[in-house]
Amino acid sequence: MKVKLILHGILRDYLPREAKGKTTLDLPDGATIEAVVRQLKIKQNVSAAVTGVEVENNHILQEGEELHLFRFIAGG
Amino acid sequence: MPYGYNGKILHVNLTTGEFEVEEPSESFYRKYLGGSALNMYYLLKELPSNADPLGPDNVLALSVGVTTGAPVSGQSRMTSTAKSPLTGCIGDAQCGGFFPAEMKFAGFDAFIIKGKASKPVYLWVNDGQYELRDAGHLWGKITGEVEAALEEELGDKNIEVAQVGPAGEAGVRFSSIINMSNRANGRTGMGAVMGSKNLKAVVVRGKEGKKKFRMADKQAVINLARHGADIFPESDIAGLGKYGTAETTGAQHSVGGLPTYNFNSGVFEEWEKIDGATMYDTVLKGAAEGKQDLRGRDTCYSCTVRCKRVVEITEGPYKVDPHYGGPEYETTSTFGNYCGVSDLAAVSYANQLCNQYGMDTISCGATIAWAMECFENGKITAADTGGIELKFGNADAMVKMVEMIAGGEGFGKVLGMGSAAAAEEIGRGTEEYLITSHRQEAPAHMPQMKRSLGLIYAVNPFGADHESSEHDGVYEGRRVSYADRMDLLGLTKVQPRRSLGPEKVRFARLTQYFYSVMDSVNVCQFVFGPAWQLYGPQELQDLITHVTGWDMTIDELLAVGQRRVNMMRAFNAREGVDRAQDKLPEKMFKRALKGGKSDGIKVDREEFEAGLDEYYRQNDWDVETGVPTRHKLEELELGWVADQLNL
Repeated sequence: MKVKLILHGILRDYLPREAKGKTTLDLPDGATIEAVVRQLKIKQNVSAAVTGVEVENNHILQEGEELHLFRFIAGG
Repeated sequence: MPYGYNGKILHVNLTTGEFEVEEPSESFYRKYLGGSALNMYYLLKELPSNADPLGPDNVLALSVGVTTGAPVSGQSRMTSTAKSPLTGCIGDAQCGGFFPAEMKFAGFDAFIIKGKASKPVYLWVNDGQYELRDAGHLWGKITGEVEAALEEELGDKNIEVAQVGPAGEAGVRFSSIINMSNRANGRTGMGAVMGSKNLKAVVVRGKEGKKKFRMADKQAVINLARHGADIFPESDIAGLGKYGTAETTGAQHSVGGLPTYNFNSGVFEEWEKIDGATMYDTVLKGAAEGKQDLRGRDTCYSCTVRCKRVVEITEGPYKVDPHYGGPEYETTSTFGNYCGVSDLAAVSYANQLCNQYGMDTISCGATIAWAMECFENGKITAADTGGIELKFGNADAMVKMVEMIAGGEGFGKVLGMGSAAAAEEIGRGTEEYLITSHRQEAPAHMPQMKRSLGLIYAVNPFGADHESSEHDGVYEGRRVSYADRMDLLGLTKVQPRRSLGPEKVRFARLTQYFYSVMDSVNVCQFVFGPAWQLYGPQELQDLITHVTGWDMTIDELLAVGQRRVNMMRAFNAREGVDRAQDKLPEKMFKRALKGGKSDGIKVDREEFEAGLDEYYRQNDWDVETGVPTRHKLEELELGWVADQLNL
């Protein structure tokens, strides 16, 4: 299945620079957010939102969903 | 000789020109640790109730903490505290940079400043020596000009200067104290207090003092510093270094939590034009040559993070001088999405104006956004603004307003009072659009989305503030990532998202105490914190122990934080401020957010009021008034404060 991935902040650096944090992932059915984190070898703790709703890392992704990954939102 | 701190407080009477050096006991330092808590001790002792915030009876306390100056990331912070001209309550603001460490090395832990000089002066503190010097030639000058003049006058490029700009001189109620021309004791109008005293600057130098700085276990401090540097690249704050705090803009938008159009929406479709990544790629100094990591970032004394932005724009109508730094997330928000503006150059220029003239970017931008909504709804017209079309999205109008506020011109003079006072002055129903708590404009995290943060906005003694407690998400599902650190504060029960039950209130309260002690020790809240930061509560305990030699515990730290919160509540009670003022803006209850993922969300009033009751109960405060009880104050060794309140 295909899932649109948007990485925010420092997590953008886990994709090539020209991607500007955006790509489409080809994932097996039943893949979780945790699986995406492992696949990209992300070291930081991540927060996740699927189509704008914050979810846990064990959320099972569905075809066509838009997954945002970001570091914890605070500060300023 | 103590370890870590000087053991000396300098009292300055600007009216008489007299000084007094106080040498408090070790137990005093251990009880307050410095910063905000220490400042509150002096304000409660020496500031009479109902004083005019811009009058000579106000007391301005500037202090560092017991670990300031240690060679580790995140310790170089200074707190300014006084009665606020913006809120009428206690005012409190921290800064970073190199000034705090240099102040420690200059020989004093705090400056307690009273009275008013008959003409402009600056305080010069040099390796234990101190004097007031004429500042008539500096009055009216912007921050960069003042720094250059003082370096030449004193013959030393390594002095550190904390000053007020022309906005503080003129009494703009959200004016700041600025150091390095780009670091700020930003909020609550501490610049106006300093300006009202005819005190243009505090200048410090501790060339010999730095050599004498002593720590109980220097090697342990060095080990802590090295550990921080080692883990930083893969830590949760690595992005703060590369992209600054505006790395979070897109994330906020993605969940509908990016305050837009004066908090009417949580999404801004043009967010990418003003976020940290775009800043990094386009306007950070050196970006054109790919050298922005070297030239486009700056830091504070001994800090490995280097989160500060350095912007340079040489073309176009909004040129930016890198001497004045660059915008943070709050600034890109208040001049950007709050105003519907997506022009990064205009936002950066507005930031520069605030650093040159000495103004809080949060209150300045938020006040303009409030005025824009009033204009959009016909409550303010071009007749009020002098012909300026103050509409959402009008970047030129936004910048023009900043200039007019800084210069005290026309409608800028009205806005310079802050939005709450401006609404009172204008009337016509403009108060409907306010986004203030305790008369201070809300920062760029939305109570509609972060419920415990919203509670703290309402109850925080110095007004709406996003750095006075931890943000909700660490205790909602994401908590598993920070379990070890949160457990140290006794926070072990994951909560549903957007809830405000008793356990969430406990989370708000305990993290409020922890953030309070951080503002007393004076450490950076990106480097130290209870969750996602570089170091956690254990490391803060260890740092204090290694520097001072005290056998510090986390419980003792939380007690200091609780002491500070209670002192501030007591101060406000003395000024007649209580539960009646513990509010969120009415529009957050009445008007649902529009658009994006937060469409339809508003704050539930019943849930909020229940949260307030629970917060007071847990604090052992009177639930009807929100005033600390004698029992609580005595428990915190503040019986003398209970006496002041006649409890």
